[in-house]
Amino acid sequence: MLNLSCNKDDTTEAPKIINIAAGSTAASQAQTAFIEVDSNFTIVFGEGKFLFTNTLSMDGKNKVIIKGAGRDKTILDFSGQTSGGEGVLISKSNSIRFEDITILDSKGDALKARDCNKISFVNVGTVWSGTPKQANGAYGLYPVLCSEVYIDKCYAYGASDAGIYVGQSDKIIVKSSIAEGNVAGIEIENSTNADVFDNEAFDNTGGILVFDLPGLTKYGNSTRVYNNNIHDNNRISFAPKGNIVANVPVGTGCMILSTKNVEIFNNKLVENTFAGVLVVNYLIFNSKPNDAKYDPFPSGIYIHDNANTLIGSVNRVDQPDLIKDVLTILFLYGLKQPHILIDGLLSSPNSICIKETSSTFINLNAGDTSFKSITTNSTAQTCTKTPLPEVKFIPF
Amino acid sequence: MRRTIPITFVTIIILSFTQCQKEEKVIVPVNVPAGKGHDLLSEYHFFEGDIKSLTANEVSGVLPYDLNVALFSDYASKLRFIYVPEGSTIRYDTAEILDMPVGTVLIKHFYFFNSENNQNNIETRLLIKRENDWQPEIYEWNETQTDAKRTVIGGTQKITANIKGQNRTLNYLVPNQNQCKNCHNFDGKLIPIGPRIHNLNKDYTYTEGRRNQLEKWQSSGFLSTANVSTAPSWPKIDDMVNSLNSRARAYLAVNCASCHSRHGSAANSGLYLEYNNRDSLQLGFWKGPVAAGNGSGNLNYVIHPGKAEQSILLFRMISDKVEERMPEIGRELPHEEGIALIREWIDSQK
Repeated sequence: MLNLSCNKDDTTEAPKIINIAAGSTAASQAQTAFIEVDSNFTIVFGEGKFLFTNTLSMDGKNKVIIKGAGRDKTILDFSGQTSGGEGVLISKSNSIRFEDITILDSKGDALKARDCNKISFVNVGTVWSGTPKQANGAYGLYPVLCSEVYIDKCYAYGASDAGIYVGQSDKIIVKSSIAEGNVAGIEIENSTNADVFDNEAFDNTGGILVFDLPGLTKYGNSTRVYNNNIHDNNRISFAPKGNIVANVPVGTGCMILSTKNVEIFNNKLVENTFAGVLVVNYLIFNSKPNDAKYDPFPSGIYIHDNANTLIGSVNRVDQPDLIKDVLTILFLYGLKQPHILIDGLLSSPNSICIKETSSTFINLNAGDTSFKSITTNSTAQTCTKTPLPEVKFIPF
Repeated sequence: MRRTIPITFVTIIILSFTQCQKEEKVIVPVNVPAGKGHDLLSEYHFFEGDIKSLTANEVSGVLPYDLNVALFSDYASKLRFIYVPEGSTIRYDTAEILDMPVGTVLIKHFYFFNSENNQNNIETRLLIKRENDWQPEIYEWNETQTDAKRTVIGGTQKITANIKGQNRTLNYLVPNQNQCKNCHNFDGKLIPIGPRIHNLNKDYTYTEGRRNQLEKWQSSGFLSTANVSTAPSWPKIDDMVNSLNSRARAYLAVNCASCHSRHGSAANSGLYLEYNNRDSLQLGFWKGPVAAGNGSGNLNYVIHPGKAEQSILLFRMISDKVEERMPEIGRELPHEEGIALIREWIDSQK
């Protein structure tokens, strides 16, 4: 029963591992390893705190795993950072996995991946310590211009923009992760083919956002947001003004801005006091997108089979100016905050389909600037759409 | 001049035996290794005599050069040199960054004056043209200033420098190899930034006298023949003969557009500041910030025409905070002259 094939083991290669232990030379060792590592290697960080003063970066690599001893055990600490726009940067690489590590207190973004194919973040934390504040970096997990993005079992806290942000990317899975205490919990922006499921987003200003903005390298299409627990996203926004996320109303569960083909279903939407789901047109924030190819009208939106709960009252004080105006209008019409709120700036009424067992609804019909066309009647949006296909790829 | 001197396999040729000992001219060919860079800067023989003097080894194919508009790097002084291998020529091209022959080395040297006003050499960066790509190498100078040693990871040095008559302390970043590419990035390939005809078309004071650089490069065999008298040229930022717009756009092209182009590291921002771009949204007019975080400065537009103080572009040039300032790396101090130029330019926009 024992040692039946002992001879075969003689040819086994040594494991390809570069170990980095905490200590005063760890940052230099880590940066050296990130530059010199060969394919099929794993860079292993030990337990403890690793102090960095500069961005830790990797470029042009293929098949590399960066692994810690656990999200609570290996901390890359950037609180003393004096240069670099992010904590960790991975660029122009293929098949990279980052796992079991937390990135703490970076000055800018925490973990950015740019121009990567097959980029995976598994059990990674991005944290800004203390009470969330405006001085914190913008994005926690931040893949941009990537494809086959896989984010699983991650944790994002305190980002002054979005905790988990995927931008201008294709083929995306964000699952089983927790986003709390950010302005936006999870955001998919100008991206195609994204599945966002089994996540918990709470205590953010907005839980999960699917946005499309003008003037970027690509436009968004096809995002599914399902089986998420999106609750209590009522944190007062601490986003620096000017950023689009600063327009998100306090108390937003899920928000769709101008994107095409978004399916929101089977989510728990609990106590997001402005609205469980909000669908708006970019023109409501900026009447001149200046991008001839950009279509600001959301379409192909299908909201169905979510579980909505909303008892609490909305924060009327700490809202962006536009939202204060909206709240005033709702108040004048004697309307309570709804489960689903749309601005009604649509190219066709059934650009949005709603099929919920019980949900309240308001259409601002904001095209009528006198706001006399505001309605709680969702008949024009009572329709169904073909479900979007599952996003499939083999993550690294 | 160097084309008249035969290069032999002997590493040291002593000319002028018949002359007086003191005038012995030692010619040492440039030596660029095939793989990774030499351990020491001196091993390349880019310079003749005492390396600290940074005198170009001109007889072996090294020329000093300068640019009309340079990237600002915390008021560091810079010296630039180019080595072109014997028999190779750069093709004259006004459309793009010049395509250099294999074996070309671009050399950029950074120094400050310290509080005693002595020259303090910090680092010397090389870009070596290989068959298919450019290889970056960085050399940090030792304390005794006798040589510079290869570094892969660079590092941050706290230095005190005499800047415009004042002693200032700053965190100077010697970049690591990845950070080289962060700026020298074109669709994921590392390329040079500075050497384009527009930026090289200027006079330089050589040992033999003042001359247009393009003419000198042609007479030295570095550059293919073309009528350089009609070559385009970018205006210096303080050259008032040229329009405010062309000076500002050249400054933005050199200081921002290596990242802020659709081929650069900031492609995701949608802010593209190349000299010839005419798209007002891409240039930042009435454009909201993208992924800027605190870099927005609580402002709404990259460029608010007519209102420089309301423009994120100017805010990020002024800020010295890591998470706000631009460029992201290589600058801590604000560039007062550049800020004045861009402020005037934005204020003049309608």
